[in-house]
Amino acid sequence: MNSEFILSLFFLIFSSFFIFLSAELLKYGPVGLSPGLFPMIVSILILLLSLFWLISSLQKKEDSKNTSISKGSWKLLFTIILTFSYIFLVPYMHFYYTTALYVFLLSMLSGQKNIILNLIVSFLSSTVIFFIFGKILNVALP
Amino acid sequence: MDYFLSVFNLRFILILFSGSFIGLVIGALPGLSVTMATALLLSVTYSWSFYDAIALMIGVYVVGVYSGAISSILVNIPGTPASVATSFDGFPMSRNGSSKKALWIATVYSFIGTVFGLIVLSLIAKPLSKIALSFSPVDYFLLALFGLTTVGSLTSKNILKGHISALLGVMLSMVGIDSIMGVPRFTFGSMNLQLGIPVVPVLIGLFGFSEVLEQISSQTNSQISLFNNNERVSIKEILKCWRISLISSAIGTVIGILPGAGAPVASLLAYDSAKKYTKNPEIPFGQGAPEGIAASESANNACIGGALVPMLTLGIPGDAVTAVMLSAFYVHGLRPGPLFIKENPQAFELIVLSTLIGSFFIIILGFLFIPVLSKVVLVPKKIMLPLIAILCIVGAYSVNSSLYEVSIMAIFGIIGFFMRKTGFSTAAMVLGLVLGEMMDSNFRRALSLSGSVRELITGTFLKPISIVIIVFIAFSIFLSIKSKTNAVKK
Repeated sequence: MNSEFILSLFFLIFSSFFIFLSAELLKYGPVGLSPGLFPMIVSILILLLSLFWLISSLQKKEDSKNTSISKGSWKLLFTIILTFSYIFLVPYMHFYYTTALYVFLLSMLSGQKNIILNLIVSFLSSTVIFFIFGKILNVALP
Repeated sequence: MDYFLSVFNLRFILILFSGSFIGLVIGALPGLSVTMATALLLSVTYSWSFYDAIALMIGVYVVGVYSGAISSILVNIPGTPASVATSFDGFPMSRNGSSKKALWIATVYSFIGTVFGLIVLSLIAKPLSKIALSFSPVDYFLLALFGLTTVGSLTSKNILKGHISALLGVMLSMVGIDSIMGVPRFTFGSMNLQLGIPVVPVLIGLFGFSEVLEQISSQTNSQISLFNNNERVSIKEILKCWRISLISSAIGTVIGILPGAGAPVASLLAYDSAKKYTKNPEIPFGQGAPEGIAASESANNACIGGALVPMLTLGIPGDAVTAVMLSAFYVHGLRPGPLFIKENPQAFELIVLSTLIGSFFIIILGFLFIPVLSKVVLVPKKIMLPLIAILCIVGAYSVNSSLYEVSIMAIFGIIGFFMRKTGFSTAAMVLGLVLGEMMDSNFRRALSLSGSVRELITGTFLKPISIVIIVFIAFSIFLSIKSKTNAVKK
């Protein structure tokens, strides 16, 4: 099955769901001012465009170049896990240490093999960000 | 005047210079966009005064658009999407041993382009504001719609996906408590969502974090810089493209004024027109023609003044960077629109003056730092990417001192990554998000003022301003369909 077909089908379902939700909102206020009116129109437009897309995707063959995300996808997955772990851990650990650890692990993931250099870059960058943003620019840090 | 002088002082110029320097570095680094930098700075400058914040952003904007040319010329990787056309002749020129000449052409014509756009901004902003005073809610709705039709078709290879991206942005803007009836929309019971989708974390996610994800998941390329510091360059040689530069600046400014289109489109169109205009180039286009660099760089920088016109006079961003800057205005309690220049003349003057000084910083920074930047563009991604990721996190957190915003940033970073991979346009989504609320409220106001859909339609077609905007919308749709048909034929 063509990946464009699957995506367009997803958007068809997505827009239908929002048409349903918008219809629920139509009951508030007169039709002209109803909070559901404009979302309903936009959802219908997305539905129509998705329908055109679905039809055109049926005429196409699979274009592997367009949607391929296999290369480096594990790196992507680890970066996402690492970022959400950072968000989860930062209230318990100090910003300085969590940031240094995050930079260290992300550098490893990006291909930095030299551990000593990596440690220096991690702690140096965490220190610089902590002082520039937290102390000089007075930006709130996690 | 006293107020003006109290704001415009050495401190202001230093902030502008800092912004210009940040723009120079960010623009020169491949993969880091000016939009991303302004989005990050928006969160940093939350607590600053409006003038300081805007000086920093304008510095980044003006010099960042220019410095994208540096990596285009030296390593054949456009630093920003706006400098794609610069690489067509810039890199071949470097390969021919004339990298310094190519960089100076880019520097001088970026300066000329910026000043040209700025002159147009100064000349037409006030008259346009006066015309905009007679705009009714339906005109604002149509104008925003025009912006979306342009951005949808121009920023994505696939028209359908471009328009879907823009409409998704509009849908996102409607999440939260409805401003007219006070009813929660699409909040799914979440208290956080009742305040709406926070724009700044979304911007940082779509432009910044998605870039990190994209670069990490792609294979790292080793880059070789072709900078030759010993090369001699004559001023006469550089200035001979002035005619092309003026035409390209005019194209860039007009494209900038059109809501939704931006510097990448302007530079490509100007490059194409320079190719047609120059009958017998000394060096053919694509093999190191100086006219190609001059056209692209004049147009993308002229776009800045153009893009500020609809933002300041109508409250509609001309491109993705001005969409971020518009958020900065809102954050500081200012609402750009027809009355903005009349009510805040000093703000308008300072914006014009900052852009002018920023254009001089192009020359100064270009002269001082090009040899250094030829090394900076080679900073390994494995060092740069984790730092950008942290800046995205800090930027999103500082909006509201809440990790919820950081999660939103990360989620939209992932969404942005998949949008890029599947051919959707993040810029179109952002414009939809910024324009959505304006479209929704003006559409409903227009409808309730008219009484019925029928009266709204007949009333709209009787007003000259509305008819002009409708013609523009029809033309934009026609052009996008035509370009698609041509692409299919090729």
